[in-house]
Amino acid sequence: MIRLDPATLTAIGDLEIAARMVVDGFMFGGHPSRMQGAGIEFSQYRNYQPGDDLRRVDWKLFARSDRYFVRESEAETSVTIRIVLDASDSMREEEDGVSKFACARLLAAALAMIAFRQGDAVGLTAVSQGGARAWRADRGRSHLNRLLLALSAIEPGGSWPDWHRLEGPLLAAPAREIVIAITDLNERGNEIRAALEKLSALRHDVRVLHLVGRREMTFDYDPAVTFEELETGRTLDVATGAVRERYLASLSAALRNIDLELGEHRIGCHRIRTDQPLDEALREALSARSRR
Amino acid sequence: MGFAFPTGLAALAALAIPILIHLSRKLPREPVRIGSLRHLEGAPAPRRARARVTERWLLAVRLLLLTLLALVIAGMHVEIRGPARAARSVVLLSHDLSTDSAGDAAGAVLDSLTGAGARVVAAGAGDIWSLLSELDRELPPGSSIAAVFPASLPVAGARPALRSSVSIHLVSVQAASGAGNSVNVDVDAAAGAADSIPHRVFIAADTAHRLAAARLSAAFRAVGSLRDEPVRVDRWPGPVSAVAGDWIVHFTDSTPSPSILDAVRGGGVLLIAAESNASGGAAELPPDGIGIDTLGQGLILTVAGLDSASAGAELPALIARIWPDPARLAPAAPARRRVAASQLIPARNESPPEGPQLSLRDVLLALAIGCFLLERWMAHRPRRPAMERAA
Repeated sequence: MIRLDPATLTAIGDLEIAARMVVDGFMFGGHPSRMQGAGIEFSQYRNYQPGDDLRRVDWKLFARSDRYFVRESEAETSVTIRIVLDASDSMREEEDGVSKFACARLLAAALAMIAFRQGDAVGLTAVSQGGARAWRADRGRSHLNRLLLALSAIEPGGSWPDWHRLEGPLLAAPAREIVIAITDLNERGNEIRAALEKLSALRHDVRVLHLVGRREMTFDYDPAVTFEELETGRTLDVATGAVRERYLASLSAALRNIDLELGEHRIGCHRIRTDQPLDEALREALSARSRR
Repeated sequence: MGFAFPTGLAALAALAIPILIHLSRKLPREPVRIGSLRHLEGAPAPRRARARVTERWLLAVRLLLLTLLALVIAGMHVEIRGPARAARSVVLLSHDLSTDSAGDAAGAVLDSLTGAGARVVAAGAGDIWSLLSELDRELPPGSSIAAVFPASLPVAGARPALRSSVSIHLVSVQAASGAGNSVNVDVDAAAGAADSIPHRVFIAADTAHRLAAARLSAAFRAVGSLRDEPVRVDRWPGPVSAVAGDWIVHFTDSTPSPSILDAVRGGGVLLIAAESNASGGAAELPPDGIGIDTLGQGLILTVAGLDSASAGAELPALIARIWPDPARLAPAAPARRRVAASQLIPARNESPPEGPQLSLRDVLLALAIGCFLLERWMAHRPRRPAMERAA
């Protein structure tokens, strides 16, 4: 069985073939979606909560029991998915010949292909060079090809812009979307998290695929290293042995803080290592989403 | 292990060259590009003063290559010393003493030496120093050599320095009157014994030469009387055991009998008249009228005028020239001199000579060639770190 790690997939060169391999691996032993929400097929009752749509209250059941219940059904499978791809300079960070951006591009292509196979509309927003470029959500093979071509052409650069420059491309769709942001969450302040929180506040279903590197997590470097920050070009000479524990503690605290902060805004965050098989990573990420 | 040319080790100074090259060509550290430095803010910088050698394996191969070349220049070798070889005691017996005639006289010396378990080695041709040096090289260190040589052995060259302890036993070889050549360990005792042993002369003559035989017998006795050396003249008794130093006078026209020839081979001296048929004529005699031939360990003297009646008055003078030691008629031998044992003791406590040595030149050269090829490969391999950084 071929291990579909990013290094192998990027060596293929063809984004569509690589994405199809990921999706095939992902679909192997697949399971139906258990998302719940508005739909036709009944699923369950739940107690009414302030803010629920009154049209979904089962009045007949109210007449019998004198209590308010809301009908829940299997969600419509035809949803709109928007992939937000972080293409800032920091995504050019490489480990073992594979950059985070290459890994993110593969994930985006695989997600688009999954959406295409399920008949969902899928759109793309690439954030780079201090701005964002959006491709509208649509269905169909030709749209998928368009997205794959666009993904192949994107080159990372610049930094994540402020919200006012993202607002237009991200909020172009009037309906609720499932927003999947693929990013390394490297930000100068908290501009990425702020954008995601705003999307969540606008009742989009936001999910973050947080890309991290193996050495980034273990700090496994030579004893004396000069680090260069990709977005700013700033360098720093570091005796890695002396700062390793402090680095790991700081990283752990930062990751914990990210999880807490995103969780407070109902944003799911799944961490994917760039040396991890992508089909396995996708399965874990999407199964975690279905458990929410 | 040793070096044929220790000064060649100075070539090891060349080891500094690759070290300096690797230190001076230290490549700049390639930065590691990461997304953010926020977790590394305030981290202590590494000490810059520390010298770092790049491409350590390549440097190690280069150092090894230069070391091997320096060892080749210095002529590195190892001495072969078998672990099982133990010190031994050996008696080196001169070839001159190993003959039957001399072996009896040297027997006392050999008995005393071999009684302690020493092994007897017969020496080949050559002077005493080369024989001792050759045997010393074959023996393990700490061995002892007891050399038994005649006192008149020619000595040439400088004394060698040996690893073994050497004792020299000189044996005097002298001709004892009446008993032929004999070997005596004690010179004084041999002189005393020579007075009591008469020289023996056998005369084998037919009736035609009876008169000549009588004149010759009288001449022998006269010379012996003049020299105060006892002599006994007898008729040839027939087959007798060979006695070195015996004289046999053959006064017949026939060839000497096998028993006479056997006695000559054993060391006797056969005297033949040149005019007799047995000698084949006097035409080939040297001007002094005395021809000398060897047979075995003995001599055959062909003398002109021995059988003529006119030579009767000159016979004692003729006999005095050739008897009892005919060797004086032989061409002058190289001067032989007596040597003292103290002169023969090899030098000790000098720098010992090297034992059997195995030169490592070929092995070192092969290793050096291997290192050179490895160094070339490492210096030009596609994924050399320096090249990757330069790219």
